[in-house]
Amino acid sequence: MKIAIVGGGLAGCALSYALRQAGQDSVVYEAGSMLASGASGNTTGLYNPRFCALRSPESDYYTAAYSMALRTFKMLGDIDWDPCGALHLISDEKKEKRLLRTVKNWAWDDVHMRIARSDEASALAGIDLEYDALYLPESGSVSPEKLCGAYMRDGDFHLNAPVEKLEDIDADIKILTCGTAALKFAPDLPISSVRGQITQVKATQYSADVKCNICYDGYFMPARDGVHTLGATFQPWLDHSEVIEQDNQDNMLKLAQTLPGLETGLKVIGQRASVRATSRDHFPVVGRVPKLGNAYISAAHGSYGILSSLMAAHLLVDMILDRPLCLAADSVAALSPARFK
Amino acid sequence: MFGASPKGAPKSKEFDDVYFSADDGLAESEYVFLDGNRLPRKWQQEDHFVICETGFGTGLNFLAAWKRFEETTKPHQRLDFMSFEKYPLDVEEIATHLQPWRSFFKGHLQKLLQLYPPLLPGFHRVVLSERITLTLIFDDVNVALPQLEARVDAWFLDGFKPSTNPEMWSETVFQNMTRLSHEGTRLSTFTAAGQVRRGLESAGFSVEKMQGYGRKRDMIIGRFMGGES
Repeated sequence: MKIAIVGGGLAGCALSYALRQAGQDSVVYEAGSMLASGASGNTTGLYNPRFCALRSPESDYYTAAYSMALRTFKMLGDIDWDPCGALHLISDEKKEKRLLRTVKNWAWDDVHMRIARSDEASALAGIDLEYDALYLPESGSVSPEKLCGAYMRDGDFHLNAPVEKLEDIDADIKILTCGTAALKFAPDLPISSVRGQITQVKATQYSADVKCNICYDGYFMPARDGVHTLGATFQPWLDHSEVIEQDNQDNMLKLAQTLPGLETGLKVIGQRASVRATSRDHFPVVGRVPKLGNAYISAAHGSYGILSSLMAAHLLVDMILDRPLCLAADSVAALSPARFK
Repeated sequence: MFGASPKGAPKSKEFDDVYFSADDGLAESEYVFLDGNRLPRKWQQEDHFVICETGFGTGLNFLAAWKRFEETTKPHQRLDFMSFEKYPLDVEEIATHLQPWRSFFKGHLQKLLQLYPPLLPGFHRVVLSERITLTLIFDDVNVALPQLEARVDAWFLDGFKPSTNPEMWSETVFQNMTRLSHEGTRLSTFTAAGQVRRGLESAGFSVEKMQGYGRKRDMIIGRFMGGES
């Protein structure tokens, strides 16, 4: 069986990897001159499940993905995996309501998820925090760029290979893993762009104490080689990857508003902008594309691409190879491209 | 939530029932679930074989199946093993319980322990090799079995006896066994309780009693006959 994957970001590379794990070859076609040239090209990225108040088909998906990622990262070398933990600050009433219910309803053992009171959260963070936090000890960061490289270590791919028409590629099965570019082949899917910019700052003596990821409306990561990454802007109205100076200030402002003092003396030394894809209901689109022959899709992973692309890859492998599905039927239905009427 | 009983046979505090006999749990597992399902013969006839187990416990049945599968099949043949567990053991507990068979399972046990998922509710796919996957589903079987999408070739109905764990032998479980089985799908279970036998028959299985392991009384094996639903 010949399998073609259109798009060489996380979604496509993870799929190539999961297929190879099942003993199945495939070829990735990437339009750009390198793998991971879009949103998957950041040098560092957080992985967290997407929280919601109830246990649901959507939360089950992120839980399964989190479990899968921890298992997979352990086996892959050279991806800058740092399971430093993440504190999700409970900085307002709305967050308190939601995150406390998440902890209760998701029912993860407290080894894996718990509420840390502000004094404990401060000890975990390495700096003083005035908020309680939802704490995920095994959360952390990887380099999405290196993760793509690790997924493709023994994989077959073509660069500078844009696909104009699916009929042009010789394969029995074709999978769209090219974000919003999938609209070229499946124009009816409600997938759209969200621009995001991350900012890199040089650590100060104070900020260098930060030991784990701190998440609020943005996020702040521990220094790596003396550099913190903070993010990220969220601009559904933009779809370009040019740097915007104001975005760095916005990222810094969000930090200063939540953790006043931490921003003092932090100097911007770099940034990267890219375009993620999202869907109308902000949940990924994974499965067989209606009315498009033997075509599947894995897209709209939004800000959760590290986890979501890997789980989606395993689901597609099951569908393609006709194996038992690795997710609950309700989650599979929630992901399906056929859910949009 | 679990602990070893003083005599050495792993025992569930939840159900006050033993996982397997202290003298030879492995031989019992092979007798009940492999011999009982006509394995390895049945999986030798398929490119792709699917086992569904209710009650992962210590993983002994899975390890026995995995090892025997590799010994008795060709490189192109694959096994997907789906297993439900409402009260999963943690990795240290499993390592302790399977200590007696450490040298027998060698690399297989090591790999399972290395990749054993965190105890979070829901589905966990574990890729063990190009040929073998394990899918652990940490949930009540009554909630999660209706969520399973698979074509099952053999059922390992483990877990505890109906008198101590009646929920596991519910109408929901039997109905979903019908949904997921095809003509020729087999099953085995260590119990021969009337309630279980009747439930399986109403689910479309032809059921027969077989001599239990060692000095134990009867057990049940069965074959799916199609059935109307």
